[in-house]
Parts: sequence; C-alpha cells; structure tokens
Amino acid sequence: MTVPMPSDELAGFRAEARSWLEANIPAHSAPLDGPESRLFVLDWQRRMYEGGWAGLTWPSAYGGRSLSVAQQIVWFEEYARSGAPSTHNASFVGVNHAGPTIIACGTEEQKAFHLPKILSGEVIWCQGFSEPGSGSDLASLRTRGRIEGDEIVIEGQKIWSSYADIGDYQELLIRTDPGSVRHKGLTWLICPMDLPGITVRPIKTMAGPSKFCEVFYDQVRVPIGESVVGGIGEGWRTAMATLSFERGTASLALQIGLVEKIEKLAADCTDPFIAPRLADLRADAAALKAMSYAFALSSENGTPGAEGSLIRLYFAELSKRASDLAIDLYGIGAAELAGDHGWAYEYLDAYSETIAGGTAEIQRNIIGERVLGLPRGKA
Amino acid sequence: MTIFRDISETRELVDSFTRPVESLFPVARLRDDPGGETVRWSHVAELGWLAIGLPEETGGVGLSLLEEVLAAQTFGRHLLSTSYPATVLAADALLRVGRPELAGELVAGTRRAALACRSKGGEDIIAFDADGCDLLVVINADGIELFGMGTVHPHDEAHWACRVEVADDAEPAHSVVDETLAAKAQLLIAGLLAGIASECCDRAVEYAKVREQFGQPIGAFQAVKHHCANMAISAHAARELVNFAALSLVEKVPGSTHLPAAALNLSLRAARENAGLNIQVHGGMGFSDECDAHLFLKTARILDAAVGGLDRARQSLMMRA
Repeated sequence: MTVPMPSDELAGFRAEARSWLEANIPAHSAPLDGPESRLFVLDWQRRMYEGGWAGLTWPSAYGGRSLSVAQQIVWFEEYARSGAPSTHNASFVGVNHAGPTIIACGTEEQKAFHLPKILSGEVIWCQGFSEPGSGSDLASLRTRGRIEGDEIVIEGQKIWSSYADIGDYQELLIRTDPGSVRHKGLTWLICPMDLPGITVRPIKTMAGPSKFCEVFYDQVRVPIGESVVGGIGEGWRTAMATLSFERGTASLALQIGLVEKIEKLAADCTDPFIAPRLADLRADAAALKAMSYAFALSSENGTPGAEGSLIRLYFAELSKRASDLAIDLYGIGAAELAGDHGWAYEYLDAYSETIAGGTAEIQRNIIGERVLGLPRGKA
Repeated sequence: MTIFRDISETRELVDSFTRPVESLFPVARLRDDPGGETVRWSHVAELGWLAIGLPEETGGVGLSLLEEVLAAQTFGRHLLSTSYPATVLAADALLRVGRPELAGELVAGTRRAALACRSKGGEDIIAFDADGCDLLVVINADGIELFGMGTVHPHDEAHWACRVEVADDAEPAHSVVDETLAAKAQLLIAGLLAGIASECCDRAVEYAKVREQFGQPIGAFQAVKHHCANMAISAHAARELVNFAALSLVEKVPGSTHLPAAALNLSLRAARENAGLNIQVHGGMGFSDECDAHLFLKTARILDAAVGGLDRARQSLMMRA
C-alpha cells in the first residue's frame, strides 16, 4: 500500500516542478512530423531526463524515480499548465507503451539495454500492431515470423504505425505459429527499424502531418533472445499489457491538458448562445479529471481495471466536442485556429481519437462485455 | 490530507452504515405501499442518516461532505424520499441560524421537511412527498429558504408533485444565504441523481442479460450493448465527479468552487439519460406501471425541478470562475 504523500511535501514537489518547467520549456513549438520532430522530441526528452523529470513512476533501477502516482499527477498538472509540448508526440510509444511493457514482461538484459535509452531521449519507438486487413479485429493479423535456429524471419505488412519513418525500434506483433488462429501463436517483438528488408512509407493524414506509416517486411531477420518479449506464442498477453497502459494512466497528461484547454474556452466565452454547451463541456472535463485521478490512484496498488477503456473513450469524444466548440467560439479565420497547434488542427486531428487504439464502437463493446458482463454476440 | 488518495476505505465505511437501506427501502415498496413513507421515516432517523455531516457537539455523526455524498448515492439508488435532502439541509440551516432545538427534532425524525420549489411563474410553492411534513425547503443558487407548511392541495399521485400554498404570502421563515450550504445542497442532489443514474444502468444491464429475442440475450446486440455502455459511462462520470467535488471542498483545494455546479450539471444529464434508457432497454415492460423504471424517471425529474432544472444549472456553472 502506498502511503499518500502529505500535502505540504506535495506542494514542495509542485513548486519544484513549476519552476523547472518555467525555466526549461522549449521556445519553439513542436514540429508535427518528419526529421525535425524527431530532433525536437529527443531533445525535449533528454532535457526532462537530465532535469530528473522523466520516468517518474518507473523503477529507479532503470533510470526512473519510483515516485507515487500523486506526484505523477502533480507533475502532469504543472506540465499542462506550463504549455509544455504535448506528450502525444514521437516519444509517446517508447515512454508509455514499449517501456512499461518491457518493465512488465521483458528480460533483465532487455530492461538494462532499452529502458535507459527510452528515458534519456536516445531513441524513438513506434508500434506495429494494425495491418491492412486487421484494424478493429487485431487478432486476425497475418504478418508472419518464421523461426530459423536462433532467429525469426519476418514477412508481411503493418499500417498506422505512428512515427515509423523516424523510429529506431518498433514494438511488433506477428504470427510465429503458422497453423495458429486468432489470439494464439502470436509473438511480441522488439524490431530495430534499420534492418535490411524494412521499407517505410508515410501516410499523409486529413489533418496535414504524415505521422502514420505503412511498414513492409521482406525477409527481416531478428535474433530471438534479444527481440522476443514475454515468450514466443505469448504475444497476445504481452500486447494486452501494452494496451492496458494505453487505455489507462498513459494518457493522464493528455487528459489533464484537455481539461486545461476547456477551462480556457470557458474563460474566453462571452457568447450567451454558446455558454450552455460550454457548461456541459466544462462539467464533463471536470468528470474526466475526477475519473482519471481515481483510476490512476486505484491502479497504484494493482493492475489497471477495465474501466480504463471507459475513460479512454470519454477523453476521445470530449476532445472532439471541445475542438468543435472552439471553432464556433472563436470563429473561422481567428488567430486561435491558426498554426501547427491551433484549434483548426486540433479539430481535424481529433477525428483520429475515436478510431486509433480501438474505435469508439470497439471501446463500447469492451465496456459492455468486460466492465458490465454483457454476452458477446453470435459470430 | 490530500485529494490524491484512494477513497475505497471511506466508501466501505459508508456502505457499512447505509446497508440497511436494501432491506428497509426496496424500490418495490413505492408500488406496494406508496403511503408508507411517513411510517418508514423513523428508520431514516434512527439509523443516523439525517445527521451524517453535522458536528458531533450538535448530536451529529461528525463525518465530512464526502461521506454524505457517498451515502446520497446509495439513497438515490433506493429512491429514498426527497424529504431526505430537504431534512438534512433544513437541519444544517437551522443550526446556522441558531435554532438547534428545531434542528434536533428534524434529525430525531419527530419533524420532517419536504423538498419544494417555486412554480414557474413564482406565485406558488410546489412541494414533493409532503404528507406529514412540517416545513418546506427551497434550494436557491446561493443558499436555501425554509417555509412553514401552508395549505396543501394534492395535485397528483404520491410519487409526483403536489401543490402547496404557503401562508403569509410566501415569505420564508428563514433564508440562509451561504456558499458552503449552497454547495452542500448541489452536491447532495447531485449525489442522489448519480445514484439514480447508476441504479438505472445496473437494472438495464441485468435485464439485457436475461431478456432474449432472436434467440439470444438482447445485451448481445450492439445497439443495446452500446446503450448500456453509454449508461455506464454517464453513471461512472457522475459518481466520480460528485466524489471528487466533495473531496476538493473538504480539502479546500484552490480552484474548485465550480465543481459542485459541475457535478450537478453532469448528474442532471446522467439521471435524465439513464432513466430514459432504462425504460427503453426494458421495452414494453419498461412502459408499464408494474415495472419500476418509471419511478426512477419521476424521482429524477423532481430532484431536477428542485434545483431549477438543467438550463439553470448550466447558467450557474458558467457564472463561476
């Protein structure tokens, strides 16, 4: 049981976080894609690491600080308030998926090699889960891994792999048992992106940037010992560990950031016709904060529960409503809409929120089946 | 202390002293014996439920607003009389204006307050479940008003409204303008509504698991499953926000004065939506008087009316920094 930190110590921690952020947040806004975004993200991650602000809840043995969830929340509150770069950038997969998955399921060698690199901003990670024929139905994936001696030979294609064009490593889910179906016979791999046989093609999104990619694998060879996380054939279990982070505490910084943005909209609103809609949005933002704090704090002493998917969906739909209202509030052509991180970009980009990482429809199925215990439909 | 704590222990404590509500106040009582609420009221007093948040030196239990709103969620699930928030708020207000003896009688259950609101035109007071009550409580944005009972004109059956004419030209006996009392009123009503939203969700889900059509439980169909998921989201959001708002006030967290209004806004929507969807998921049965689904809808709308409705709640939230 973690003992809650007394509020005066937490206040000291908050002051420390605030002054560090004031002194260190980058002068320029984050580029949205390409090589500049890689340099920007690695530099910012390195700066946080050197200041002692990376991996707050990661074990100290791997470069983290072993702090409490309460301190993590306070850091994210200050992070959002300071206007620091969004955490939904090229470092997200490494810091929030691959790292925690390696902590949970990796070997000591994998932990010692990869975790410090992720925290200190040496490497970018991307995710290789979805395939052209396997979107919502992830378990139908067909990218193959043939075992040859102490190597796995990868053949196939992935899609929607964020930042694969600038990534160093990929968390890759493939089928290693050729006769297997669905969740069985899958393996979760660490795949270096510079291996012979890998081709990456960025996809331009409707919001402008090309942050998603297609990745093609032609006889790509990886060593089993260094690459497999959680065991051959155990990939689904390992991937579920990854997704539970995505649906849980990993998004805390984004959630707090959204609440801050909605409070700003409320403060800027002088239009009596928009005010009632904004009132609902503001109340829902407060609820998002309440739910995500309660969830993070209750997960501290155990694994995250299935209600993480509920919060993930709530966040996604609230993001869309917030940016939709922002355009009504400021008006088309307003300065608030312009620029790389303006509301016009946010509005378009928000359409990915109810698709990526499990569509809103799949999330509702998960809530119905895993949280409420409703039966699955006949296939 | 801090708001960054897991409240599961507090929840267990509140569950332990509110548990008798399950056997004493099953929702079916409102169909089988709707007039019996006056008789059953003595249990509410004996179990200490009217004095959870009052200080010990005044005969209260001495717990915080967090315990009060957690209890309210349980009471909302069982559709405890709307006299509950009215009497709790009246006792608190009377202590503030130096009337401890009357507050004591309310807490002891020998007197009872009814929840009330002004009619749309403002000329009448509409009271709810007012049989056997001794005073009326009207919740305003900035506090509460207490009225003596006037002439009662029954308006409808026991679980809907009745019209009350207040003697002395609607001049309140006491008017307490106080920020903390107003916040407590908002959060108590929000807690009850969050309870209603949660119970409606649970009942719809249970029904969707057992009712079969086209050869399978209706909950297996995505259209119904997604209704249930939406209800679960609304109920969860309402409960967590009510608890978070109460905890933030108890711990005096800066920048949280808008949270009671936010919790009320969200709970009003959650209760309306879930009460409606519960009827929908129950299908034809849901529209019958025999099914309890309508009782949740009616109680939700009464609590809703008592705080001035959703539009007023939106306005009051936007006026707060």
